Amino acid sequence: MNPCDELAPLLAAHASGEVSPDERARVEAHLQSCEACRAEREDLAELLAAAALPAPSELEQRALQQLPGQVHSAWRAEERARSHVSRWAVGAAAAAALLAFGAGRLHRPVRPGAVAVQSQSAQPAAADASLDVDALADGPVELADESTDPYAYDPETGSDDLSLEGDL
Amino acid sequence: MSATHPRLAALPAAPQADDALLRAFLQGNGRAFEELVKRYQQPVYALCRRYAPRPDDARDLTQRAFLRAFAASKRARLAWRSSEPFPFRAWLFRIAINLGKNHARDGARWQLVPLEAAPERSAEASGAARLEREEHTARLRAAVVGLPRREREVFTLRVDAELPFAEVAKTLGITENNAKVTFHHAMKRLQALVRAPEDEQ
Repeated sequence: MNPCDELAPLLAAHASGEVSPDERARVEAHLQSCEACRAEREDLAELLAAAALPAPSELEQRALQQLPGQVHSAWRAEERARSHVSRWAVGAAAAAALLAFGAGRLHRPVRPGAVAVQSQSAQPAAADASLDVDALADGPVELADESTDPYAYDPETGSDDLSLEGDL
Repeated sequence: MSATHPRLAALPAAPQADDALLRAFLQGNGRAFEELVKRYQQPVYALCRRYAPRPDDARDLTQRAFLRAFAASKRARLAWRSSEPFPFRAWLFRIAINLGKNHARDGARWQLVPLEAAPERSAEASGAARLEREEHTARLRAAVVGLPRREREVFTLRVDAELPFAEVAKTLGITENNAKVTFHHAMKRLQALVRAPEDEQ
C-alpha cells in the first residue's frame, strides 16, 4: 500500500517533528484512518533516527566551549597577516613606481630645472602610499576585488558545483 | 529528533540582533565577535560533523566557517544598503555546508564510519544482526552526504542543525513549502537507498 499523494510531502516534515499547527492537525486526523500513511510515517521516523548523527560527546561539548576564544584569536592572527601582506604589497608597489620613475628619467632628455620639479612631485606620491597602507590595514587585500556574495556559484541551480572553498 | 529540541529553542529568533552584534564587531568590539560565535557554534558544528567524522576535523571546519563568514561579512556589511538585516546567519550556515562538502570531496580524511560508531563497532561483537544494523546506519549516514545538493542542504539544515523549515528556507533563499517538499524528496531518496539491495548501491 502506498501513502496518499496529497499528504506524502507532509509526512516527512511531520516525522522530523516540525509542521505548522494546521498541518499537524491535518496529518494526525488522516493518520487515524489511513494505515498506509501510518506505516509510511513510522518508516520515515525510523529512517530519520538512523540518519541523524549521535549527539556530540561531553568531550566535544567541552571543546566547543573554548571555540569563541579560539576563533577570535585566529581572526586576530589572520588580520595581522592580512595587514602585513597589505603593507608588503604597498611597499612593493611604491618600489615599482620608483623604478619606473627612475627608468623614465633615464630615457628623457634632461632640461635645466626639470630635476627640481620632479623631486617635488615625488613627495605627494609617498604621502599617498602611506595613506594606502592605513586604508589597507583594515581590510583583506587579497579579497578586495571579490563579489560581496560569498557564493560564486548560483545557489538556485541544482548543480553540485562547490566552488566556495577556493573562493573565500 | 524531537519536536522541541533544545537547539531549536536556543536559536536566536531575531536576525536584527545578529546585525547589531556584527556592527559592534566591525567597530572593534571583540565581545560581539565571540557572542556571534557562541550563538551559532552548536548548529555550525552539527553541520560540519556530518562531513567530518573526526571531532578535530569538525571543529577545524567550524572555525574556518566562522572565519570565512566574518571575512565575507566584513566586506559586504559595509556596502549593505537593504532595509533587511544583514543575513549573517544564512551566510554562515551556507559557508559551513560548502566547506563540509569540500572536505568530504577532498577525501583525505573522509571515512564512511561516522563519529562514535567506530569504537562501538569494534568493541562489540554481538552478532551478525548488530553488525548489519550498524553497517546499514553507517551507509545511510554517508548517503546523506551524497544527496543532490539542494536536498542535502535542506536535510542537513533540518536534521543536523535542527533549524525549523522557515529558517531552512530563509537560509537557502527558497519558500518554506519548497523546503518541506525538498525534504520529502531527500527522505524518499534515502528510503529508496535503504530498500535497494546492497549490490545496487
